[in-house]
Amino acid sequence: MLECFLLKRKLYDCLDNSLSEKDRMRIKKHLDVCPHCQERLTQLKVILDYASSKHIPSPNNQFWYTFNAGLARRLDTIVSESGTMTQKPKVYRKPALVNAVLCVFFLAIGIFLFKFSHPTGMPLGRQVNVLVEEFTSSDEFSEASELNHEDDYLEEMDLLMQLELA
Amino acid sequence: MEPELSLSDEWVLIAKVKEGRRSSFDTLVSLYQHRGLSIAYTMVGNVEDAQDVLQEAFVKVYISINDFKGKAKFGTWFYRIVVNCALDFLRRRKRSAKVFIDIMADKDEGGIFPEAIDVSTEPRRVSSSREFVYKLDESIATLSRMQRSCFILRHQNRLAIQEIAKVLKCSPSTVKVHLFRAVWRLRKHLLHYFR
Ligand SMILES: [Zn+2]
Repeated sequence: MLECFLLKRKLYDCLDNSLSEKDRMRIKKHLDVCPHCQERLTQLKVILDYASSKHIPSPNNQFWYTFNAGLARRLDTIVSESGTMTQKPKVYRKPALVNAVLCVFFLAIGIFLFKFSHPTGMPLGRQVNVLVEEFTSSDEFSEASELNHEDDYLEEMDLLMQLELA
Repeated sequence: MEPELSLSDEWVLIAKVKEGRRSSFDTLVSLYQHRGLSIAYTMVGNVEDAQDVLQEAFVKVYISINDFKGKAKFGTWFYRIVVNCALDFLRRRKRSAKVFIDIMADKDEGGIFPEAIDVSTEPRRVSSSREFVYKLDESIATLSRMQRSCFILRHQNRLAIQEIAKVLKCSPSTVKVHLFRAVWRLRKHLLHYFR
């Protein structure tokens, strides 16, 4: 039973072909004598087989024509709203220079208004960088938000430790 | 379907896009639209919404192409944008569905739509592979965002674990943990179909 519990972690790796030779032999040996794990492995295999055989539509030319026309309209709107694309790179091409100018500007304001005692502590150049970073690649993947329950958290820690050891 | 363009040719193409050449951007779109649609479709579940998500992703590529420094492959950077747009879309859809449910609940005291479909208590046994596929899709939709993203990228779009790690900006071992948890959760959801 302990062997089943320990090998549970390896059954998925077995199907994803990411097992070491040593683990593969260990699992094979166990599966030969354990119908319970055999059954679980079969079930996981069915799930992965069905998932990977999902039909993904390959639309015809008409679809892509409509798609590209729609995309072009959206881009035209953006270009007309914010100047041409050729002007944009000038803003982005030298972020260090832009940041430096902004830093000097905000620092000057900071010196006069806050008299060196701004409480938040984050350098303004970095704030600008953070804003640019947030704009360009808003990160949707907060690890912490995935761990809704204490059980999940413990399971996660347990697995990470197992992976560290593996 | 991987784009048939060498890395150096792709880099030249991206440089032209950065200069503002729309025709080069159109070429970039044609190279990545199929793979992009596949990821968007597997994330959101239907072609119409996938089309919307993919357009949104290309718009984001267009306005932030200068932030692509070539540290990662363009594909990796682009897939990340597609996944983000899809997750964003799913969050909006969930929110609007919630509003719809609330409105209906106001009209009809008990509410006619359940908050969530509990697959595990669904009594029917699998009668066809088609039904199983449907239930599998439903179960995938109940996974957390990270589990779902990892599972879909790995098992429906065949991305390597290393690449998924780059797309989702985490370590390969974190991807493996999410994949492991995803697959066992799916089994738990679908267990009664195996009996
Ligand atoms: Zn066993």
